[in-house]
Amino acid sequence: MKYSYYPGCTAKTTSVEFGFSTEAVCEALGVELVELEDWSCCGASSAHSLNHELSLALPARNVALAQDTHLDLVTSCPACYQNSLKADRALREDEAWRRKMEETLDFRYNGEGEPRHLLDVLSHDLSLDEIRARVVKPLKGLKVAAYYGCVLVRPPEFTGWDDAEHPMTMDRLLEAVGAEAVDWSYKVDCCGASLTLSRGEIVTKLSSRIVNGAIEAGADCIATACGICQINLDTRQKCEREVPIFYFTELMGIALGVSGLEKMWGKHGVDPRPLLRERGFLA
Amino acid sequence: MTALAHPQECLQCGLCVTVCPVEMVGGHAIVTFMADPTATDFSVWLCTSCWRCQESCPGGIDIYGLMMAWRRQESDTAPEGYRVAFEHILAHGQAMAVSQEELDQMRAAWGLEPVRLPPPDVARRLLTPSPAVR
Repeated sequence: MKYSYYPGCTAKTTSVEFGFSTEAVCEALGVELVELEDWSCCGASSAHSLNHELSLALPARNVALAQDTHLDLVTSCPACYQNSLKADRALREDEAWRRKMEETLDFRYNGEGEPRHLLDVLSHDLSLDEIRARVVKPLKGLKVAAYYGCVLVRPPEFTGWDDAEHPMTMDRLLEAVGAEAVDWSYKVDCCGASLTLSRGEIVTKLSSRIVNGAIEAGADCIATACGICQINLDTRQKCEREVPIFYFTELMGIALGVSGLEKMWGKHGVDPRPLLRERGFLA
Repeated sequence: MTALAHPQECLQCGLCVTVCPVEMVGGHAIVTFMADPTATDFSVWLCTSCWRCQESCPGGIDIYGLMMAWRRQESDTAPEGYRVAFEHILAHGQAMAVSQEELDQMRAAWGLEPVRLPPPDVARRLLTPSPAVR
C-alpha cells in the first residue's frame, strides 16, 4: 500500500508531533508514504481570502507533482486536504483553467494524484481488523472524544465525508486500538480556527465550549486531526479541569507501540503525561 | 464597505445566523448581512471558514464564495495576520514565517531530521504566465 505524501507546512513546523506520528503510524501499519518531491504550501487561509487564482494554483502544483507519481496524494492536514480537493476539482471541471495550469505547470491533467485525507486512507484502504491485529498496547479504559472540526467534513457535498453532522471514521479507528470513543455533541463544532490570530477572545469561547462538552461526556482527552484545532483547544481552553488534546495519530501510535512519541509530549500545552502514566501507557 | 449584491435566492430566513459560531459568541459575520441586507455592523473578516451557514442554507447559496469575493474586493481592510501570511506566500512561497535556520533549530530540538523549505519564488512564478515553472 503506497501513497504520495503531502505533509504540508504545519506538520513540518508548528505541529511536528502530528507529522512525526503520522509517519510513524503509517510505517507501523505497513502504509508506505513517499513524500512528494518539491511540494509547496497550499496557500493556507490567506491565499483564498486575497487571491483566488493563487489559492487554486498553489495546490494545483502539488496535484501535478503527485500525478507524476501515479499514487493517491495523502495528507493529514484538513486545510491542505481541502485546498488540494478544490484545486483538483477546478482542474477537472474548468477547462479554461485546466489549459492555463497545464501550460504554466507543463503537465497534462489526467486525474491521477487524487487528494485524500489520512483518516480516509486508514479507514477505507485498511480494515479495522488489520489495525486491531497490529495493536501491542490497547488503550483500554481511555475515554476519548473524537473531534473532527469543520474543514475535514464540510461542506459535505465537497469533501464526501461519511456524515458531516455525526462522522464516525476517527471514532472507529480509536476503538480499533482499544480506546472508548465517547458519544458527544461537539465533534463537528468550530474551534475558531484562524481567528486565533486576530480575535483570540472568540477562539477562547468556542474552544472552551468544545472542551467542556468533552468533559461533560466523561472524556479523559480529545483526539483531533487538525493542527490549528489542536493548538486552539490545547492552549485556549478555560475549563474546570485541563484536558489533554492529542492528534489521533499520537493515540494510535501509543497503541501500535511506535517509539519516539514520548520525546514530544512536552510540546503539548496541557501535559498529557500525567494521564498517560496514570493509565499505564507511559512508564 | 462597498456591499456586493444581496443574493436573489436568499429568503432571509436567518438559519445561517443561528448556526454561525461567531454569532453564537456575539460577533457579527457575513450571515448578519444575509439576514439583513441593510446591516452595517458586520465584518467579512470575522469568519472561521466552518461552512455551517452554507450547509444550513435552504437556498443553496454559496455564502462562503460571496464572502471570499467580498474579502478580495476589500483586501486593504484585511487583518494583519492575513496580510502578513499572504505577503509571505508571495515572497517565500509559504504562509508560515519561518526561516530555514529557525526550522532546523526547532526540529533538532525535537530530535527530528532537518527538512528543506519549499521553493521560495513558487507563488510569483505561478502568477506569471510563462511556461514550465515546475
